[in-house]
Amino acid sequence: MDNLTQGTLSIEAAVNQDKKVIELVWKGKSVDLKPDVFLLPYYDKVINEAKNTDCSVDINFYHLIYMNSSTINSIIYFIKKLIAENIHSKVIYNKNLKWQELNFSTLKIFVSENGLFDIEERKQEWQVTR
Amino acid sequence: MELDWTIKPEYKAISVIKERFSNNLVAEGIPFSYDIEMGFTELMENSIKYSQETPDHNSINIKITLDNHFLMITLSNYIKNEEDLRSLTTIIDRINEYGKTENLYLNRINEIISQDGIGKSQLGLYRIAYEAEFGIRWEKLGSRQIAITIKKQV
Repeated sequence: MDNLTQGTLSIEAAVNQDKKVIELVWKGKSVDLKPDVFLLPYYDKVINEAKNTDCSVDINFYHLIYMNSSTINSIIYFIKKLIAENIHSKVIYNKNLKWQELNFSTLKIFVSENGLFDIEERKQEWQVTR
Repeated sequence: MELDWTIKPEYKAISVIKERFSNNLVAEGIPFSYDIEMGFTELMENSIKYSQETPDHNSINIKITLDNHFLMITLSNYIKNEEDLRSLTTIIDRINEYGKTENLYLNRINEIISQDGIGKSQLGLYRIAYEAEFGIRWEKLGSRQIAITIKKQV
């Protein structure tokens, strides 16, 4: 599975064959006015890979610094598509970051009894230095 | 602090203006916080997206003032068409009339979830009001020319 780098945004893809998971780690800032232009084809590749390898998809935003509204729109589209394709997926975010909590907690609406979608709220791990 | 710039509605202008704004704000002893960056960036993106592209009307004016810890940002530009103009003013009116910005934001998310395919997000103004906690208003300057102002205590 390829990584994606576009401007200040990068998505690092890691396939764990043992756990049958494709993890997409979003990093940097997603600020493009039309992110659909490069994200939608990438989503299609991820969905094909997940179907071919029978993997679920973890979308990890923990390291993401910023995203604009157009990106939120695109992420919602991606989750809808994963659910429509019967692919298990999970969004991971940093609950300690106010902007991540406000935006990603709204995705709980996708959580349903069929277990196709889940959300993992991670808390910041603080390191004490002496 | 009083800043005033006129730019072309080009995406690359956002980072340049944002850096100038940030430098000026920090020089005044105010950090360029996430909320300020987000509010300003969403407003800039909106203006560029909806700007008219005819040679006579293809500029965006940016005015920023910091007065007694109140930060006010105004972007003025011509809008592409009546539909977009109506859409922007309707959202701002809704924010001011209804007030419960969290509910409005969640409603918009639900609308996006319900729509077929992928359309406009129209989330930016809701985010500015809900997430960044800016007050927001609009003023019509002429036919299809609008000024949108956001304001908050910093």
